[in-house]
Amino acid sequence: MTPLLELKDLHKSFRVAGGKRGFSHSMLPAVAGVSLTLNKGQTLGLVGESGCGKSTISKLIMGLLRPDSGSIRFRDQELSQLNARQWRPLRSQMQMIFQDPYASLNPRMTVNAILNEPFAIHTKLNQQQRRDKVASLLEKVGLEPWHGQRYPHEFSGGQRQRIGIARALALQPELIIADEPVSALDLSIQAQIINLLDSLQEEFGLTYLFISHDLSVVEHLCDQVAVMYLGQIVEQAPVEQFYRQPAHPYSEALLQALPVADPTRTAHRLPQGEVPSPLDPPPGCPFHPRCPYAISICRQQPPALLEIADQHVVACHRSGELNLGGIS
Amino acid sequence: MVSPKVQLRAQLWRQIAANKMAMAGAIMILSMFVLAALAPLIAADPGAVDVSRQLQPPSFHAWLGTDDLGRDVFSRIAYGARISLLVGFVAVGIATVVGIAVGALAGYYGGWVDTIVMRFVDIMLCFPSFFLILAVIAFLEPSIWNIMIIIGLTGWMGVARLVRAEFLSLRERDFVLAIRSLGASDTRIILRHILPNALSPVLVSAALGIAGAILTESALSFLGIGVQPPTPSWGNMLIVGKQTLGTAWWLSFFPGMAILITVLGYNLLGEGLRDALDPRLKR
Repeated sequence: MTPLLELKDLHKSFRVAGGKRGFSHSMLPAVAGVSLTLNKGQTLGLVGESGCGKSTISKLIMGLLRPDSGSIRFRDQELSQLNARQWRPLRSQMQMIFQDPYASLNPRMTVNAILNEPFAIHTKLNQQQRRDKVASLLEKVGLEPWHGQRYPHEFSGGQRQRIGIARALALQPELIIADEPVSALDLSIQAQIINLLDSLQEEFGLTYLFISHDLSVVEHLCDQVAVMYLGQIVEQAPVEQFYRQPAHPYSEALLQALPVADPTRTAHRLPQGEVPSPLDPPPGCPFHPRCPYAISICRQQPPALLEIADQHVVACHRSGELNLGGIS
Repeated sequence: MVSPKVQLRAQLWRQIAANKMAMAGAIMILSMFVLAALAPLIAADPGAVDVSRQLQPPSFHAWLGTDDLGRDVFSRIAYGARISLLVGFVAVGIATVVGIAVGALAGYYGGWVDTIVMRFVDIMLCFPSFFLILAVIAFLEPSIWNIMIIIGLTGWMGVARLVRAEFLSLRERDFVLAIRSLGASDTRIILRHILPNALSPVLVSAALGIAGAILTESALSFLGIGVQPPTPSWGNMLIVGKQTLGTAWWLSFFPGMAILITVLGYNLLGEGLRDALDPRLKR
């Protein structure tokens, strides 16, 4: 399988004000050496706690932020050094779906006007042709063409998210980055949106990078799972393997934290404490202060991301010896 | 089906109409506009000197009395309304356009552009604006157009700050990120996507600014460096009335009332707009 998108050792830090008298600043490494591969036609679920750098990754891929170092390859093209003009033709090939459907649509534009923008920017279609395109987009995401005359505030959250999906689909991209597309929605609406994403993938052969903190959603939708902790990928694995037999203690902890309808099951070995501040990351393995399996090497040396099985990589010193519990 | 845009406007209108003070303000302004528009129909020649009818008190013939040259005070107020309302609109129009342009640049691009532009705004704000206007006018011919331009060019800083603040917060919003990731040009993002969302506070400040501009023009004319006689303006009518305040009160009272009503009207309307446009007060 050919990778459609490949991230290698990606770094991005943000400057945060702080220090005495506000003159000094410190760097917050939001993304600290991320490597990921995403195959064409597949769905990669990127999971992790809030603040671990998931959204920063999506902005880096979309070119909304510039990485400090590392490479982003899309097909055969290196994206990290492109300027705005070189980016333009690529815009139609990757698009983004946002988390909050209340913030991602311009409140002063009708839905027709919002969906018209991609065509106005990238195509030379005349007004009638664009109108037809917009109408067919609305139908594709399960809305009616006359909905286009309305303003975003007249729609429910689920309908708004459909509009956001329609905008992302407009230019027929290959890659769609969905940044927590359902976490702002009611549970019943979540299922509808996930099914919509599923059927659109089938229809258009889309590749998804699906960012989420909800492992049950990821299990349903994704082919691959990547787990992120404090700006780093700690494990990437095919979805069945991940859920059956995770290889990183943090993955295990996430899976154990899922609610299961089984009163006899006892929770075991949940991580202790809070996520450390990324301003002051622990030495060695970033997870060691909370890891129930940590030994002395974990405190001193950061583990490398190693392939332990086909398509299964993990960054843990003890991945070979631990027998971690998944869910089946 | 009524278009949603019309519905939004109708809603805004209902909110203003429900606010009694704002309605009062709107009526005050409207009556001044009617007076200015109908001046040639309802008023006599404001420059017609009649020495036989000097300093007549208000009567059936001269509703608001006559001045020291026998000119009709009502006619002069009606024609003066044209000047004052024009000054308010043009000066604030200039200030708003300049303020939006400067604020949008600073807020959208941020970084060193923002630093340089906003420090310049700070410097401009250091000057007491009335004395800045006085100083500039000392070098220029005191014509009505110069007055408007100068009032406009010394009043844009507040608008710039407002617009910058709006842009700073709006440019990080998801819908702007979405349009950026579609590859829209900066011009398109600024004009089509951010600016329409940043205009509400500007509208309010413009309504209040018009009141300020009218006051400034009156003050300049009162000092004799604004609108020059014989062109009637509320400010230069006050100066004539000043000498006869004890004997002919109507000379300064009525122009003063005209200024009061107009300025109060714009202030009330501005406050009403602020309440109507404030998203926190929306149900």
